[in-house]
This record gives sequence, C-alpha cells and structure tokens, in this order.
Amino acid sequence: MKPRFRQSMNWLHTWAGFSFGWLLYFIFITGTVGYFDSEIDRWMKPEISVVNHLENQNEILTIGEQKLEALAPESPQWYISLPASRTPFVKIQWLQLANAETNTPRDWHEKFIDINTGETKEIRSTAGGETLYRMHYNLHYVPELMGYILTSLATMLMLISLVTGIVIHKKIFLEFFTFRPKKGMRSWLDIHNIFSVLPLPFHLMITYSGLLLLMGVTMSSVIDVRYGEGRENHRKFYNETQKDTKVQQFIDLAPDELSLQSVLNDANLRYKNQKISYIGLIDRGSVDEHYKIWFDKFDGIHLVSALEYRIKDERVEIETSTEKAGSAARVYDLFEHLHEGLFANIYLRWLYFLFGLLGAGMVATGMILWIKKKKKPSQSDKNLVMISIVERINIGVILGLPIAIAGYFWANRLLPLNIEHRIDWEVHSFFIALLASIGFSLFRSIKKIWANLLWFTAIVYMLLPLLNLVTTEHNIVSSIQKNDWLMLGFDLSMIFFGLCFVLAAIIMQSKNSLSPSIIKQSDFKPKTKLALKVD
Amino acid sequence: MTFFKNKANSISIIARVLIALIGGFLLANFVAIIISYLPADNVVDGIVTGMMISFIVYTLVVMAVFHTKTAMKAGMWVGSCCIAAYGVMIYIDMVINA
Repeated sequence: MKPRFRQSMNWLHTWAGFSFGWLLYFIFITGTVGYFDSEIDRWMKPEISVVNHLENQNEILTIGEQKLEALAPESPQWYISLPASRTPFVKIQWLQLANAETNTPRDWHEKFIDINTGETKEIRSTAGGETLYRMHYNLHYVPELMGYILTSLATMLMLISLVTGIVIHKKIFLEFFTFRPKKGMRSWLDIHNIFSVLPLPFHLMITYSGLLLLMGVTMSSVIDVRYGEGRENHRKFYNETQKDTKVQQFIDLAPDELSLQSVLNDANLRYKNQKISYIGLIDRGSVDEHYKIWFDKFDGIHLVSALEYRIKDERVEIETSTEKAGSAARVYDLFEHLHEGLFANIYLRWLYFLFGLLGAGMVATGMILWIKKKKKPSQSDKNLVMISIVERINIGVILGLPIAIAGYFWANRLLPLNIEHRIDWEVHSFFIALLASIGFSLFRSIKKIWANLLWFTAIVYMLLPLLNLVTTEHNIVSSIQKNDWLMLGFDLSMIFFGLCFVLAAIIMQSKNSLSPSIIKQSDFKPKTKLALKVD
Repeated sequence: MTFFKNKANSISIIARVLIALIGGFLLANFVAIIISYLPADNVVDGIVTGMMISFIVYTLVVMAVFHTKTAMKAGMWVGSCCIAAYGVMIYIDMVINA
C-alpha cells in the first residue's frame, strides 16, 4: 500500500474517532447497559413480587383476566405477561382510549400482580431500565429527531473510524497479540488495538446495524423519492417493511370456546418446547378481535408475534409468522436482532455486555491516545492549556458515566416516593452525576483525578447492595431465600463492578508512585507521521 | 509564512470535511435511490436494499475524499459523481414512467 494512503487514512481515523468520541463513549456505555434492561428494571421496581413456580400458567392467566376485566373493561387491547426467565413476574397492560368527557388522554397502562394475594401492587414511579437504554439513541434531553440524527452521525463516524482503523494496520493479526506494558504511549496503542481487534466483528456489526436501525430517519429522502413523502407514507412504508410471511390454518376448536385460556392451552400443546411469555387480546369487541401469543425468545410486544388466533368463517384460524416477506427485509431483521440481542441467553448476554464494554474501552483509549499525542512540550502554551482541559473533561466523562449510572440507581432508592416528576428526577440525577464528575476533574490536580474518581466509583458501586438492604426488604440473603435471582444477580454484579474499580484504583495509584522516567513519552517513536499534509 | 500555511491548511481541511459530509451524504442518497430501482422482491425491499448499502457508499466516499491529493480534486470528483448519479436517477425515472 502506498504510504500516503495510510497516512491520510490515519488522519481520518484519528479525527473521525475523536470528533464524536465522548458521544460515542456515552452511546457504547448506555447501550451496553441496555443488554440488561429487564434485570435493571426489576431492581428499580423492588415492590414487584417474583414468581418462582413458572408452571401454573392457567391460574395466573385467570387472575390477570379478572383484573383486566375490573380495571379496563372498555380497553381495546389487553396484554398479560406471564413469568419468564428475564421477567419472573406477572404484569398486565392495556390501552386506555382517549375520552373527551373525562378528559383522559390515550395512554398505555401497566400493573404488576402479586400472585400470592391476587391483587395489583403499587410500584414506585421509576424511569427504569428502558429509559436508561433508550438514552443511547434518543439522548433524552434533545428532541427525538435531533437525537436520532446526532447518534447516527456519531455512528457513521464510528464506522469510518473502524474501516480506516483496519486499513492503516500492516499486520493487524500480529498487532493483536502484541502488548508492550510500561512503555507509555506504546502500551496505550497496544491496548487500543486489543480492544478494537478482539471484538472487531462485534464492533462492525453493532455499528452498521445501529445505522440500519435509524435509516428510516437518516436516509428518509430515499423513501420520499421512491415511495412517497409525508409522515403517513413513511409509516406505511415502515409497516410494509415489517410485513411477515404468514401461514394460516384452521384448527379444531369451537369458535365459542375461544378464550385466553383455550388459546394458552392450544399454543402450549402445539409448541411444547417454547415458553409463552405474553398473551394479547387485540381489537376487543371489533370484527377483527384476535388473540396473540409471544414466546419467551421474542420477549416484548414490539417484536414479531409467533401466533395469532381469530375467528374466520365461523371457524378458528391460527396464523403463524415465519419470516419477513422480502429478502432485504430479512437481512435488516437479522441485523436488528443481532443488535438488540434479545435472543441471547444469559451467557451470550454477558458476552454482549463484555464486548460492549470493550467498545467503550476502545473509544476511551482512542481519546487518551489523541491527548497523549498532542501533549508535547513543543506545543504553544495556549494549546497546552486547551489540551489539558480536554484531558480533564475526558477523564471526567470516562469515569463520569459509570458514576452517572450508579447515581441513577441511587436516585431510584433515595428519592422520596411521592415527589412530583420522580421519573424525570432519576434521569436528572444521572446527568447531574456526570456533570459533577466532569466538574471535579476540571479542578482537581491532574495526577489525582484518576485515582480519586476510581475510588469514588468503587465506593458508590460497592454500597449499592447495602443501600438496597437499608431502603427495601431485599438483600443478598433474602434474595437467596426467595429465589429472587435477578435481585441477587444485580447486587452481586454491583459488588463485582465495585471490586473491578478498586483494582483499577490500586493499579492507578501504584502507577502514579512510579518514577516518571518509566512512563516518559519519548519511548514512543511513531513509524508514520500522523499529520496529513494537505496541499 | 507559517501562519499563512496553517490557514491554507485549515481551509483545505474544512473544505474536505464539508465535501465528505455533505457530498458523501448526497451521493449515498443518489446511489441508494438508483439501487432501489434494481430488481428486488418488491418495491419496499428494493428501497431497503438501497438504504442499507448507502452507508457503505458513504464510508467509501468519505475515505476517498480524504485520500485525494487536493480538496479541489476531491470536490470535483464528488461533484461530478453526484451529477452523474442524479442524471442516471432522472433517466431511470423517465424510462419507468414513459
């Protein structure tokens, strides 16, 4: 390859990655946490009572149906979620239609049911796991469209950085196995390479699929030109892309026997290996009244339903969705599922999580490298001040996000249950914690920021199980007794993360006490010049 | 002298960034539209194909813009590709509607 090509691509790699680096880091961290959104949601709603015996589905369904009958007799859509591995509780949801007389808006409602008493439970109002994971593409405070465009732009730059990152390496395979510790800049570069190359297929997949998920917004002009302009047309287009190939068949069930119970029993008989997690009664009272079943693998109502029951020609017909109708839509579907990882079991889920963190680490080490390269004595004083500010903000962001997430959890337990806008304040706490850590980094002596913040992060994570013990009835011992594995898993994970931060803090402290000659920058001699000479 | 050089340098970089971001976006859109006319399972599927490929096109265009020797040259290339792609787009549209 021509050296000039590598040089120009190196420039592009550096700046494409740097320009949106902090946003990318934010996206990586909040998106990665999103792989455990259900688990986080369970922790943030400690009032939920979990169900351990998953086999008693009919009884649960009866209770759910009775509750819906009492709470939402006029609602056109009912959903009952049965206990499943990631959601071991009973939840009912319904659509409240807009009513001009009582001045109630169109809204979705949900209630959790305590199966022991058969009553609904009051759950604290919380932003939950969903808000946390949604942040990685809506950025919460900005208008929705703006959030989509900004994250897409950052993702596009990420893709460019990945591709250019691949082409600038002469020996990508060899460099992957190279780690030269205690060599200052060299070591950072090696770590950056390892974080990037080890999960490279994941990084490419997650970046590209991230772009695809928002392409209806970012490439909307293609839809305008080829399909039709306006919101209505775009919605129609989206619905058409989501169309499944469907197979219908009539079954031996008397139409007047069709009910939630009979649908559940029939589906259980037909798919013995699948666990039903969701049952919906949709378009109640209309001509098109039908039942929908979702299996555990497709947990959540925004995904493909597996089974539909409806009455047609005075017989009961079932409809199975197999796959998307078009081949491009199938590819899209594949990427979407890969991105969201909803099919992943607990082991794969942790792998997703780990790779997500490696992605965040890749961005973080990239930012650190940029700063280290710029921080030369030859720079003018003004530039050095600027670089020092960037360096401080960078540390504040890198450690600020874990702190912010902990702040989000702390707020969930500490905010009074009856304050107004509680949900908003949980999210505000997230960003206040992030800003506070950036603020702290700006004024603390630069040598001490890393260690100070790491110790602080370690403490806030380690104390979370204790906070859980003090503010709720849950703790590690009671979770084991109640077989509440999600609660236990969350508490243990927090201790584990806390220990990781302790380890990092100890390493950082011992590094700071080393003689500076070992980590001096002159050890690094770049083979290629990094600045692109532009004519 | 160095000041002048730096200034020319930064203007050229800003030009490249603009060409890459805006020109690349336009070209990616045009290519997506052209691809969507190719035979596919149905119209919607063709559009989805075009949109999915557009991101790869965008990446390649950005890389090309920063690889080209001068910003001027890069601008000319992206500009002429855009015009050509636009022409093809109009032509296909005419043929189909005729």
